[in-house]
Amino acid sequence: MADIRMRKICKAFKDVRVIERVDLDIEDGEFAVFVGPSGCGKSTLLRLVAGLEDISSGEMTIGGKKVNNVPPSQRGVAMVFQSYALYPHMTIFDNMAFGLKLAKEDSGEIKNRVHWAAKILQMEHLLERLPKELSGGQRQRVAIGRAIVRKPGVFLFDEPLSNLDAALRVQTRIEISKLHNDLGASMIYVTHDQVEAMTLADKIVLLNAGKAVIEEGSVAQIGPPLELYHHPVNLFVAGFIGSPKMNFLPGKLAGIENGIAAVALPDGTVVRAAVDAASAKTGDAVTLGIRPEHVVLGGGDNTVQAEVSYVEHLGESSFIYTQVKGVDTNVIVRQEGDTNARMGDRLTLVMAPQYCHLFNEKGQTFRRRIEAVAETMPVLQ
Amino acid sequence: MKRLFGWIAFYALVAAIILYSVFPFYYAIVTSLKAGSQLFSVEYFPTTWNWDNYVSVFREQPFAYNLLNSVLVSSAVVALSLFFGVTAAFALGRVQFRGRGLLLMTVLGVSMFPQVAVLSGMFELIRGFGLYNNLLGLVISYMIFTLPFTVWVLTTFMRDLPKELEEAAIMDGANPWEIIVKVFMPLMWPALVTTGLLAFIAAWNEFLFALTFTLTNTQRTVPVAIALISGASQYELPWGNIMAASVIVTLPVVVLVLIFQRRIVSGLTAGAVKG
Repeated sequence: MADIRMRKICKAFKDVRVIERVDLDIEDGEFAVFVGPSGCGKSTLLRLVAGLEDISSGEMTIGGKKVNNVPPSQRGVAMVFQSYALYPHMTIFDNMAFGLKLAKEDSGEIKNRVHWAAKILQMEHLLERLPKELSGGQRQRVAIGRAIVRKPGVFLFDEPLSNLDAALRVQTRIEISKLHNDLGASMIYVTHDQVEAMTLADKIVLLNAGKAVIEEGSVAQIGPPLELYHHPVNLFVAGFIGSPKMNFLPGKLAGIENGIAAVALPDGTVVRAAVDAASAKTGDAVTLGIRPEHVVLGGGDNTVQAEVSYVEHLGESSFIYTQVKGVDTNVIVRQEGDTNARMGDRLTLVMAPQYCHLFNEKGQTFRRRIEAVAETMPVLQ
Repeated sequence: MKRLFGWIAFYALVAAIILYSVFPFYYAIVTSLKAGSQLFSVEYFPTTWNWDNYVSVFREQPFAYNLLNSVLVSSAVVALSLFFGVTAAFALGRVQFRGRGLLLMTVLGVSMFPQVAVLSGMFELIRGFGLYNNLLGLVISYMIFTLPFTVWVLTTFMRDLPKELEEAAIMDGANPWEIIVKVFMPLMWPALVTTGLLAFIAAWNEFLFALTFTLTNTQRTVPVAIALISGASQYELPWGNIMAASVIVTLPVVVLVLIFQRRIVSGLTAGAVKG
């Protein structure tokens, strides 16, 4: 059993508080992804689990055993580094066997384990080569293989794919996911790429950066990927998850009818959002949020007038950047396939109430009334 | 035309440099092959191949002992310098601690004292340890000047090794000693060979300490032995013997450099490309 429990974990380098009050449970066999903007301490948190950094305060247990003062090699964890960190002077076999040799394993057992790991990663033919004779993707496999042979309870990945090209990244991502299914070990994966986070994770841990770390603690939100997507707890999470990021429109709460909030935008139009805003009162400053993929063009109810300022054609979809009166940033609309919108066109944006998010003045979310469902397009009323 | 002139000037300069650096040694070889009064005629090419000088160097004094002493002392200095250099470099290059910069500066500062300045103090120290006229005394005193540059070069090299490599080894369960021996040392061969070679040459050629700290002919190292070669009378300097001895002591160093030169170069280029 290799479940990880963190209680009030803090880490400070001299006076700089990098990690604050992290409470986190990762169950045995779970795939957790640490994600966050650069400088949020996600790698540091991983290194605390690995034991490469000392925990300043708080308690961490792995498999029920307190590990605060346990050296890395005895925690039952294995780490895959961003730069692979293969030993350049050793063959692939020796690279993978190094840890086992240090642990004084029987040489027959070492051989079996290395070949077993090499077979899983389909690189048995590479065992006699040196790291410099391998391509980037192959080196990455060796780094993963080096972790596998130790049969750890927990795998730690520190941005393992960031040195690979795009095609290889997708392929390796799928392999890691498959590996997780096959081995059934717990995995912690650090990335700044939210596609990796969304696709791999059972549980995403989104970390705060900057001032919010001290004010709210390091963790912004913990949950399954789709929960973070559909029910972000605050503006920061809403803006971080999703690409392009969620559109934010400033407004004032105009009233609450039948449990649905009506928001007055700067240009005077009123948009309704299906959220529970009972804690707010009419006249409060709020922020309306809606994802680009949930905005549709057309007419009818709950619409906003906008002018096209820029269009990006991606082939499978198009991003229309529009200007809404009184809103500083562009409101982005994602259209399936091509679009014939041109710069300067006037559009009517439909913001369906069930897809609207609403945040109070402090940036906290009013709970959405509608449970998220997997639909590609919002249903028009 | 201008190109041709540049070409000529370049190679003329090269020739001058080669002549300047190689000629003294070449002339020593030529002289060592002469016998008797032939020594005093100026010839640029060996006319006779007379090996008598080489034989008499070994017959007239314990030159074989001196050679053995030099080999022992130099090898011991290299081994100890590299051992202390690597372990110190690990601490200075990889471990964070207060006063690290100051310590490095002090190490460098030690190497700035001229040998003469520490000679008398060193003499008392050697005698206090009971190492006067003992090869071990030479080994210890030589490390005064070999350790500073060994430590500095290896520290710089050690500092540039990727941190992840060390962390990967830690995750694999290696202790600091295993990290040094099994991970870092194999990567540091070029630096180890270079510093080892420099330490060897410095110890091999050292004269002042060797002269001061030894008494008997059988404990002397080669440079001192050569300087103290005397002829039949005090008015006669046996140039032939001296030249022969000089050629004998120079050859090992030249051979060592030639052997390791290729190693150094290949090692440096192999390390330069990200592996």
